Amino acid sequence: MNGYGGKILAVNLTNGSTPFVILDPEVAKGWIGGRGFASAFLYYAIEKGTAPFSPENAVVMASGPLSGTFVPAAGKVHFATKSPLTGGYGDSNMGGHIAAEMKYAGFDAIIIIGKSKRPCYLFIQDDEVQIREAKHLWGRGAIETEKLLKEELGQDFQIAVIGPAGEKKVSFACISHDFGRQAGRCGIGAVLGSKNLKAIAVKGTKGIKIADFDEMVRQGKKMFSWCQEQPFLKIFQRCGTPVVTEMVNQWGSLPINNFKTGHSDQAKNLHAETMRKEVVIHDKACFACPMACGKYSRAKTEKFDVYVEGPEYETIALCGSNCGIFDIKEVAYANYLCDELGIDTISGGGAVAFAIECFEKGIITKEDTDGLELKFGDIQTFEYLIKKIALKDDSLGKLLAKGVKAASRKLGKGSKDFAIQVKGLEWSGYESRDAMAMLLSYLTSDNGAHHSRAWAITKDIELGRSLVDGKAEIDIYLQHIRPMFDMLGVCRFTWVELGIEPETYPQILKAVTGNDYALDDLLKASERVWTLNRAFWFREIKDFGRKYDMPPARFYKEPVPTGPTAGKMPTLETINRLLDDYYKLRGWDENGKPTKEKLIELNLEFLIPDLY
Amino acid sequence: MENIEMRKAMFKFGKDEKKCSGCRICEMACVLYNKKECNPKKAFIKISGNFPEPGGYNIKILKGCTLCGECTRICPIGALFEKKNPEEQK
Ligand code: SF4
Ligand code: SF4
Repeated sequence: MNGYGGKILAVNLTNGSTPFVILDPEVAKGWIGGRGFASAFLYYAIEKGTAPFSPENAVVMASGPLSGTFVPAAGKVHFATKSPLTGGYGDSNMGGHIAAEMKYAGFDAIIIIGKSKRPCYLFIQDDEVQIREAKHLWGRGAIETEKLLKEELGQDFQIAVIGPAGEKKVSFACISHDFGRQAGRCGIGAVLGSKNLKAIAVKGTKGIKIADFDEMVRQGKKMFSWCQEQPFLKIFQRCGTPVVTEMVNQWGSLPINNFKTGHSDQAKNLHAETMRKEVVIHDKACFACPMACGKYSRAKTEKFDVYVEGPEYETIALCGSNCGIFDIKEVAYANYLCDELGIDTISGGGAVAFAIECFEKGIITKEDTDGLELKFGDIQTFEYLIKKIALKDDSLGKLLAKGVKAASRKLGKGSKDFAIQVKGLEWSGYESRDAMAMLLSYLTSDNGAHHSRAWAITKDIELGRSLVDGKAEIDIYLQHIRPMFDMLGVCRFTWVELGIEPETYPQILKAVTGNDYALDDLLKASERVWTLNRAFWFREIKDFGRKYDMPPARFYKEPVPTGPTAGKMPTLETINRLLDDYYKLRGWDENGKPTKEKLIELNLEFLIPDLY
Repeated sequence: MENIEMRKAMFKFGKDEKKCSGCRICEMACVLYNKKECNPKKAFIKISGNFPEPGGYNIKILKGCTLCGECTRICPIGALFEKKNPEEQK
């Protein structure tokens, strides 16, 4: 099938079977690929009420139709599962080279269910699929595991792994790949751990059939040269995602000390130029990416000497400023710890910051911490807590390993007001008390408090930050267009950072697959996925609805204390208005449930029995 | 088809591995042009990484390279280039 690998691999770790099915062209047309495949296959693969750590839960890994083809930054792979952190739809997207490799082996998606009796890894070399023993890898760090497997199998294998945190089922354990790319969010690494699956190793030599080869080459070349001509390319190559750190701090949106405030004068120690000078040793790109936003770093002090890819902006924000750490070498070290342990740096940083605030307020005491005083701005505190979380070797580690929502419900004493999350997913790097589009984006993101679906803060800055009117519409547009890139299997940064025309994508998609789409068709497909994911939450959580779209009380009870947004905060009424506008525009009822009419309009009527 | 000896006289490869980001666009450009296939495994150029320590990439030109220069023209970061002036070519 043109543009696609053509097969879906179904792995059952309980009985060791690895059959595949041929990808149905109609399925490909409707769900496109990547995130579309991940969401749709997950919905079908698990039954209502499946426990996240039960063998019946599924992890879907999917490339897109453009992954591995001649399109700038065509290296994205999407994962989805029922999240152990939120109990709802969980997904995460990562770059690197494994999406392309899957396609070259002939697989568009891998669906993993069951549970192996012993630690194992999945071996794929073109048509040869094996479930192999992984006793020698179990217990090892994620970076170390990838290195060992590459030595064992060959450098040509592309490998996704989990670290010790995944093995121990830390609810926000990540999947790592290419020594620094992560599918970090929603604890998908923990689900792999619960299945005793340590790694997925893929090598493909078959290439991809292209519908109109010459046309793909012509358009691809045009896209690559276009990227090359953009003045911002050089800046983004130099700085990567930390290019925004300075700006976000100026906006007063940089999370500081568990989102107490949004600005710090110390942030200059975390700026991209500081990072470039202090730690970066070279640029590192995902497959076919001219932007090379990955920064490979060495952080060396008297206390540590580590190599790590990053830190990315999100890691700087969550493991850095949000934990009060304003030394880029220390942030790089924190990044290394998370990567090797296999922990999402966003949720990990969020959980550490939450624990420190609990300590400040006397909710956690020295009795819980082996006598250590937990402090913001202290890398020792970070190291102590992150290792406790990853290894879950005492009650504090076990508690925090469930995420801040669950931990706060257990700790009580008002801690849920500063457990910074939505739907159970820790909030990523934008303090949003004075950015209504960004706030709404976090509240309504389909996997919890994650920024990537609608990075709307620039619109707040442009149009007026506390303005409510029009913000829902902006978010909905972004929530369709940004995940569209996740469906295609390409990185959205060519659009976000370099400004490539979105219309370019349906054109090259036609050259690659032969399927004719207008941009609007792709956006409609993206809306279908969004709605399907919303239905997943309603199917899985009995009392799901508006109350799951609310922020923690800090965001409407505590005005920002300092910085350019000092005194700002939305009222509960404003938050509800944002949600009212949003639900209405989406065609959802006032509790946020997609109406029957909307489901029919989107050809999703098969969801009606699950929802009504 | 051009004579390869002539190409050799005309085309001088330049590479700066320190700059290489490992994007592998060069592999793709090579195979698209020389083999008319979307399959970087068959390229005449190969990128390999040195991770986790000390980082960085190696660029290797393989047997069969036609000196077409496709890879040098697409490299987005200046790790591959054609040495144009005689000084550079020394
Ligand atoms: S110059 Fe050689 S390695 Fe480069 S694209 Fe041409 S054939 Fe491939
Ligand atoms: S040589 Fe250039 S095109 Fe090839 S991998 Fe390195 S940076 Fe990318």
